[in-house]
Amino acid sequence: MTIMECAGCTLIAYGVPFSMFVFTIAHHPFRIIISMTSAFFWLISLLVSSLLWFAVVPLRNQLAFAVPFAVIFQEIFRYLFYRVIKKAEFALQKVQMQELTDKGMVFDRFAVAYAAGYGFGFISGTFAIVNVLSDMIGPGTIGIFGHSQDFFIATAFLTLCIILLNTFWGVIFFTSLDKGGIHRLIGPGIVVLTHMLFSCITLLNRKSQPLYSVSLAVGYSLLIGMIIYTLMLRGFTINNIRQRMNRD
Amino acid sequence: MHSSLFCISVFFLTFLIVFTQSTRVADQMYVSFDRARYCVRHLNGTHEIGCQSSMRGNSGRMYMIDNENEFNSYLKDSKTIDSSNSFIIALNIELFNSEYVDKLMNRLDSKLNGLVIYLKSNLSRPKDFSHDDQCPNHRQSYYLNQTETVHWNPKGTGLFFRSFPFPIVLLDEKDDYERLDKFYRQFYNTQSSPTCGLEVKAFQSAAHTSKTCMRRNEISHSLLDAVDGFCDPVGGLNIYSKLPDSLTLVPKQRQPKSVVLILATTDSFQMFLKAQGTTGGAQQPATALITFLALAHVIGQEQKEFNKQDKEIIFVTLDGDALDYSASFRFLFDMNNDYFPAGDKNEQRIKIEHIHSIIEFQSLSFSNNLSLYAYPSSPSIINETFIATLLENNPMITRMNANSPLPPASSQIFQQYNTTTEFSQWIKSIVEPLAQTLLDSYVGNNITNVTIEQEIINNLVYCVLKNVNCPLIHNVSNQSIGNSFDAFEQTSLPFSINTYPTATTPTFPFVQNILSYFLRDREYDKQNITETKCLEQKNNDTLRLYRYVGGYAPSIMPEQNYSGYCVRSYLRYASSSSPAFSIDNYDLSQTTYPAWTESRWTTFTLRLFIIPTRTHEIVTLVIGILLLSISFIVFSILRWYVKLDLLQPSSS
Repeated sequence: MTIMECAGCTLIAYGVPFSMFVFTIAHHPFRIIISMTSAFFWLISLLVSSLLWFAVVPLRNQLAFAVPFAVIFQEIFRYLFYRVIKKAEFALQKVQMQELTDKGMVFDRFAVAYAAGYGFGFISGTFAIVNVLSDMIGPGTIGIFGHSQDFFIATAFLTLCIILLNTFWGVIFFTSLDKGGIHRLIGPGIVVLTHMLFSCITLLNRKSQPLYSVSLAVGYSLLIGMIIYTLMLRGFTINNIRQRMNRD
Repeated sequence: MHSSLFCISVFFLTFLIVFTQSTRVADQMYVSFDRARYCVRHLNGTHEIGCQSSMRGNSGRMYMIDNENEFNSYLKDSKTIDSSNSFIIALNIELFNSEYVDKLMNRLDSKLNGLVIYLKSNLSRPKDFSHDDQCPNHRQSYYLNQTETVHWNPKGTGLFFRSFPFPIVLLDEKDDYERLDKFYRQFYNTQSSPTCGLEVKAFQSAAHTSKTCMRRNEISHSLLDAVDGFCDPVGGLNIYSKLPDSLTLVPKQRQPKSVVLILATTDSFQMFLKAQGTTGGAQQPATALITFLALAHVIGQEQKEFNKQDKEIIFVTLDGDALDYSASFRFLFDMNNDYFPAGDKNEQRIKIEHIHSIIEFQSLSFSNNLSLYAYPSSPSIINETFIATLLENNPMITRMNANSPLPPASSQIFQQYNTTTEFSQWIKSIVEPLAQTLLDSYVGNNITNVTIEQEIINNLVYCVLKNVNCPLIHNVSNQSIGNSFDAFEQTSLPFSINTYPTATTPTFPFVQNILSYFLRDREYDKQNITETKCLEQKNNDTLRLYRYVGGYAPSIMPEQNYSGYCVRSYLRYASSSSPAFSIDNYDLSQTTYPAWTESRWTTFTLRLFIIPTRTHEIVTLVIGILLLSISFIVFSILRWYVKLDLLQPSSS
């Protein structure tokens, strides 16, 4: 009866992103489109990395070779998506339709960055967990060969971490590029480096006695770091927040 | 800079760590047993027997019972039984009989989801493993005046003929038991730790009775290609052969009591079928078949003598008698409907009145006592001289009292109409006296000391019991179309229940080739004929078979030594499925003829895995639900109280 386990892990991985979707993206058609397109860009990046993996025949079994390149390709496509968004924004500004503005169809850069990051994250997480979920539906669970029983829960939490991290990376990436100046280098640089760090840490999970706590701890601390950096980019300082709280 | 250095070092560190091949998670979760044997469903006119699983497979907690003590303690252990609502019991093969199975079924009731029978090692094979009834084929007993039921097969459990609501699997490969035991011991601890579970998939398409199933076969599923039948009638081929010159051709009339039938069977009982690969064979039909073929060789050797007299000696193999004598019924049916012998109408048909006697090889086992059962159609017509000669020629045989009940034998069916190594040496010692007796009785010339080359018997034993892909069969069959026995390298000749249309069993081509070769026209051995000329003979002679083979040396007179030989022989075969399936508008629920069918199936799998503990499952689910609800609440607060811009609904 591991239907329960499967349902549980699905909820763990997709519970928070689902709420995010319902509250921030569902009522906004523009953001839905951006998320879908962003997901598509991620898929293309995966296609390119798999072509590279396929081409380098002798290293096919060494996942450690493919992972950094996958990270690099994902970030390249995130940048390409940014360029596409820029062009769309430019075209929309040229049109300058008053009716659209009245209806509230403004080009909210932050929301777009957020939706782009969310799309990337959602599809990335899905690819990480869907195979595992489908194997979970059978009558058994992992463990007959001595693997840890926590594999499924750890995978679900890691997937949640990936989805959230990607969302914030999207925001950081786009916002930094928009700000210009030194931020054009720092922002994307931090994103690439933390992404690389996170992916390489998860490679540790492939040992026979994996320490899921290491990758989970690293992942979630990176997430907290990303949240703080995002808030800093958006102009929130400790004082700002205190003022806002007092105002309400 | 620091973080990039850090990452690079991490990268190299992970590079040095040993990586496994990237595999699917499912490969790390399940252990499959590919060489297991499964019990399948058989149907007859009124019932279904056998076992099956549900379509998605039967799974349950595994519990291993090795001996009687463990069995009894398990039945009393309510705590274990209540801990799970489905079990698959791994049972030692010694405990597989109706007593234990019934007790288990009564105690567990619907919780018993499957049985896995294991054989610990080849050295501890049980002495008896028969799931036939104690009186086999007792439903079709046609003895005149015999009312008592004799237990010919006292070790028979009769389990084959019962219908089980769960699947039963047999593991008889050595390392399968070891794997099963290893994993079971690893995880069989207290209640709190995860336990082993098993899943069996053995879904059978057939259900209810043969009548229902055959009717369903006819319903066309034109849109769905996948399902094109639910069951197949049991039956294979009845093969017969005789000396190519002992034919009665139109317009010559056949004399009454001029045909002698020599019978053997090519099928045998099998409760557990193998999913892939060939099934093993029982010993019983093998010995009889070897003796049968050796006798054919002797007759073929002495064909000059046998051709002088007017009795036709026909060698017949029947396939399908294990289940209610289906093949014998079919043979008799063919005889009554002018279909024996099949083929060219220029040969006179044989009917019951033409049969002089029937000699059957059945249940031969390697021992020093052979029992001879002679059953006359009426007490006065028994051929005393034949039997006397036989007993004289072979001191091993003891004659049974005419009143003693008859063993199950295919020739029984003919009775209902009142109107005939150390091991190869032992076979030789049976065949030679019998052939001698046949010669003495029918030819009469007192030809002394008929012999058969020991080598021929040795080769037969090798082919049938050890390796079907043997030199003998290559030398007697036409190899120009390729070797059809390659797939059966190093397997013995399989004897099992066949279905019609026949699967790729090598038994029929084997018997056909060898039988027809042994009874061939020996004159052709002396002639050096080319292959094309050999095949041309076919055009002039529609009654016999011509083929070009390499030639089997021990059977050929020493003077002749060619690279290839033309074989002129007589061979016929006919479907041996019950007449119930060939008669138009026959109601399959009638009991006139047996109507056995075997179910079709798609997959057979057996897997072992870990079942998670209840707590673990519940904890996972609860965490998931908590995360979802908490995030919902948090976002609601952020939307309506903190009023974040991002969360406000709008149309952009």
